[in-house]
Amino acid sequence: MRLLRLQLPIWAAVSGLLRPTVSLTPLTIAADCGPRARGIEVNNALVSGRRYASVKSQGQYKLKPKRTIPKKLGAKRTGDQYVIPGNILYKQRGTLWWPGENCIMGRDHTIHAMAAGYVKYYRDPARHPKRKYIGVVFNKDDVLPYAPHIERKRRLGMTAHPIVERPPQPEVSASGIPTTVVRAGIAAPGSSRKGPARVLRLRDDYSYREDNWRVGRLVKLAGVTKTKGGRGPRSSRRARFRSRRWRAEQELEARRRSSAAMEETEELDEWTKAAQRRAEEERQKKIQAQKDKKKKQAEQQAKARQAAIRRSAAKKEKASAQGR
Amino acid sequence: MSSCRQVGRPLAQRLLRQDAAPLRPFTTSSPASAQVYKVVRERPEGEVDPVELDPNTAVHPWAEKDLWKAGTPPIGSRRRRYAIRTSQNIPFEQLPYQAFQEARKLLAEDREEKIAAIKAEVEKMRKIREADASLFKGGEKKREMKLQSLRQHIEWLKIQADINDPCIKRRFEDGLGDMNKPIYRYLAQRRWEAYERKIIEQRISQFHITPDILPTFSPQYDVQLFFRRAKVPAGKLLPSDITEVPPRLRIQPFDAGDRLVTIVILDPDVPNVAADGFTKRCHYLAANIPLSPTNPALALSRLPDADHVAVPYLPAFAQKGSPYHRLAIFVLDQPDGRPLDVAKLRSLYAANKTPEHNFSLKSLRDKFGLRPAGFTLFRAAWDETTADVMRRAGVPGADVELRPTRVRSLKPPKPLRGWEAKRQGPKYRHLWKYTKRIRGLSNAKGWIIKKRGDGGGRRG
Repeated sequence: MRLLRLQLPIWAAVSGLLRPTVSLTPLTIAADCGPRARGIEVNNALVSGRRYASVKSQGQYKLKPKRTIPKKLGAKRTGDQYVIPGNILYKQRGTLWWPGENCIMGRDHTIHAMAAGYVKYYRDPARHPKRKYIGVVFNKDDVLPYAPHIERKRRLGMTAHPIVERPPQPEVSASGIPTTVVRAGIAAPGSSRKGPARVLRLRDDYSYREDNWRVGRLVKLAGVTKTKGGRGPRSSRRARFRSRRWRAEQELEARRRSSAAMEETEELDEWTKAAQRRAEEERQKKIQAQKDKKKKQAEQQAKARQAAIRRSAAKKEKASAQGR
Repeated sequence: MSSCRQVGRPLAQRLLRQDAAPLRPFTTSSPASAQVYKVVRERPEGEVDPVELDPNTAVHPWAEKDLWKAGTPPIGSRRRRYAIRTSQNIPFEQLPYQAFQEARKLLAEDREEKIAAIKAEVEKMRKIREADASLFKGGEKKREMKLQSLRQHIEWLKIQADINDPCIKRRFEDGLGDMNKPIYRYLAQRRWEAYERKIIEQRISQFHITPDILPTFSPQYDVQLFFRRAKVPAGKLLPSDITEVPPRLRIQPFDAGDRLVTIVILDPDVPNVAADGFTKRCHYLAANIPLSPTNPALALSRLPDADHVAVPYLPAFAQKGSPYHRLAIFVLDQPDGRPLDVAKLRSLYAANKTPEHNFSLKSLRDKFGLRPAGFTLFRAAWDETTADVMRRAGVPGADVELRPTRVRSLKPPKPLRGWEAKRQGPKYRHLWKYTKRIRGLSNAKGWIIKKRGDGGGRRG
């Protein structure tokens, strides 16, 4: 069947050629059944003007679609125009143009200038036989590409300033609290070696926080990379999260312990003690109340269940009595 | 070695040296303590057994360290040294493997053939040399060409005679090859070209040594760089205090003969703020340094100043903020092994250390007819120790920092628009507490530190 369908156009053509003769011999048509007869039909359809457009006509290809957002591609700077670093020279889809001297290509193949100078559009057969390059030169008269083996033209683009020494931060702030707190490092999970000490600095909002660059350094210590992290090279995402939870718990526990130790050492006045006792009693009461509530609920449920069992038993008995 | 052979090896060794140590019967008990390889980290008290300090049999870390210090490094792997020490010590040539011995016989035959061929070629050369030049079609020139090609063929035969010999391969791999012999030079060159030369060529292209310093350059010598006992891979960014002392070099030529070389260390990235560009500075220049394939080691600090050094070593440094500096080390062959005039070099290059003076290796090469043959490099950047290094070297500029020049936008400034812009003036003073100061820099969030001296602009 498929073969036949494939052959259809051929049949059409052949029958078209043969038609003047073949149509005169109905005998042959009758003898050749199927494909040829169908071919004639198709051919007749063509003649009668039922044609489906597969090729556009009359300059339709030249017309641009009107319902799209314009992408605004193309050259943004002409040759010999002055540009500064970061200027966009050419926007494109794919690499019609390549970045040459003092230029870079962005993520979407846009060509940017990387130096202040004059734009040059050029080819460099020594580098690549087919590519077109956009470059930036420091002197307008320069011609790209530069001759091979001559020294690169480079600009420093820097100015000299005297180094100003920052005054050291005072150890105690104006309000009398230390500006830095050093917390001893804790051992990583599964190892006895302690990590580096954490340096916390006083911030504007009176909180103590680690510097971001110090936090960044910790990543290196943990051996975490894009692919592997947490607890070694082959740890899964689940393992990483588990270890994160574990670490968080560990930290909480440590904090709890330290606060408890502090409380033990501190001398409390009687009011605080009383307040603490009261708070503790209230907490216990609350817990007890919750327990009672649960117990009551359970009892009620048990009663209801018992009642239901009894009811159903009675029903059964009744039914059996009636049956008799 | 395959794993099954590795497993079988100790057993085979045992069987081979039955009289050296009696074969242990197969039992489930643990082996005797003397047979277990045990690393002794502490140096033993009193007299040391000479076996411990033999480069062929030293196994303990302390002994290895001693040997390295003494300049006779231990040979082969520690595992092999231990095996030599506990085995019967049969010479390598007499190892009782049938295939090995048969192969050696074949190789010996092949070597005889090659030597016969060399003799024949030498005879041919003698005949050509003795013949009259008029007998040759191209005259004297043709005869020289013939002789040259014969010489090349003999060199090739010399290498082919030994290239398959396991003893030679072993000696080379142990680092005991005699660099006076063509076969070892050939093997060393092949090893260098297989990896290290590729690396150095990559460094040359990726750090733009060509075309920044030389238009074209292809290294011929293997140059290794050492700072304070540590070997430095080419192109490594080194701390300033490490590079304060002159480096040691290991320059390995692969062609026979003694020669004189010139060594140049230069920095092609000296910032020149006035000209908004970079210049080159010579950090070290020494000439007439004898070099041969057999003694490649060269400590720049130990070179006698008067005879060789034209520009004494200036430590590598980079000013704060400047991009990293490449410190290129070039070994240049002197023409025909003739010595250079060090006094002339001194007068030309010793004083020119400011950025305005541009040192050019190309011009040095052309002036004295030198041929660049070896290369390595390291890099320098500003770090905590650079200021001290510069102070000790008497270099000014440690208190100056380079900052990128602000490039202003090409767009004209736009007048400000919007509700807030309208309400900036004193007419709307009553709204100032609600409006941001959008004219100029706003310090509404306190991000701009006004006075650096006063608590770093931080509250608290």
